Amino acid sequence: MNGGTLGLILALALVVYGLRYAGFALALVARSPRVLDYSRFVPLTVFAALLTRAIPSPPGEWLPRALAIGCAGIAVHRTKQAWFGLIAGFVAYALLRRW
Amino acid sequence: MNARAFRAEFLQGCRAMLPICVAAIPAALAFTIGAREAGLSGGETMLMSLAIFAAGVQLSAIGLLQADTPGLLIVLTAALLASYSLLFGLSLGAKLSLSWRARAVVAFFLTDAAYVITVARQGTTLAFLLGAELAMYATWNLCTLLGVAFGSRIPVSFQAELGIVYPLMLVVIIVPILRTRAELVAVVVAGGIALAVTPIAPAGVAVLAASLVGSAAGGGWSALLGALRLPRPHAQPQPRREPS
Repeated sequence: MNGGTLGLILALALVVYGLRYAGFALALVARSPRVLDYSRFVPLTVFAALLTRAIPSPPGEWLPRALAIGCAGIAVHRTKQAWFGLIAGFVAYALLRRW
Repeated sequence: MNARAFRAEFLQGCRAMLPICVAAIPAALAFTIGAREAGLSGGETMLMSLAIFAAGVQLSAIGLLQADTPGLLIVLTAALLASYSLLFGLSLGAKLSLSWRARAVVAFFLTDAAYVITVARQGTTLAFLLGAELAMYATWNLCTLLGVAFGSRIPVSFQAELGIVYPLMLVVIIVPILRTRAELVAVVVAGGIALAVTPIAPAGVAVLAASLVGSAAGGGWSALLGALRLPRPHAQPQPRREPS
């Protein structure tokens, strides 16, 4: 194993762990009602941002991806089943790419 | 919590995570294929998954390694990419009362999916969070191992189709927990900010900015509705009937 690569991997692990732990440490000092109220929107907003970023890549594929994501959203909204949403979206995407 | 209750909660966390673990398969395969192209050995690829356990950071690191980027820049990019996990710890720390040992353990295994599955559940516990986290850790590392061993045999066309699983996973997470108009406002604002900031900033910064502004918009909408809502008329007190 290359020493430089090993050092880089350990540095990356330390940075990621440090940031994950820092959030928990911050929670100990930031317990105001306003912070708690705003933090309930965090999961939704993080996932909305990640989803928005994931739609246009790879370039030229945004339309089938957006339509497949729409299909999955409708399917999971109607059935409340994550599995069904994943399958509906995946099948829609596979068909739209070939169409 | 006794050992039996802890085990039951832990297994529930594992089960809740199963559908989302499917999304780890394409990401792990993409990572192992990229790592091989970047010249990493099988051992180094496995060590990345075991020690870092963050798909976005691992994928960006191998992309930068391929481009001969200096190590310091790779580490700084990783810090920006992982910056939004600060918000996860902040939110979970407010929900769960954890000892420093528990915080040290759950912080290592904390991922986007484990976080959202845990906060979406009523009356969530440390055992449930750990179950969800370890299910994803096991899946991610098993898929990395399989990718190291067999990744080169997967057809390129199927690899492209597997790439849709990650955004689909995000949709099936978001839709069931989207309940109020304030949450809808937060989601729309966060999506808009992410779209606007992504071309000019690293991914982690775009997500962090979108989440902060979206959460503020959701919180602001709630506060505005609360301020506009008319106070309910006080109920008229019933006259007490005197005993005859």
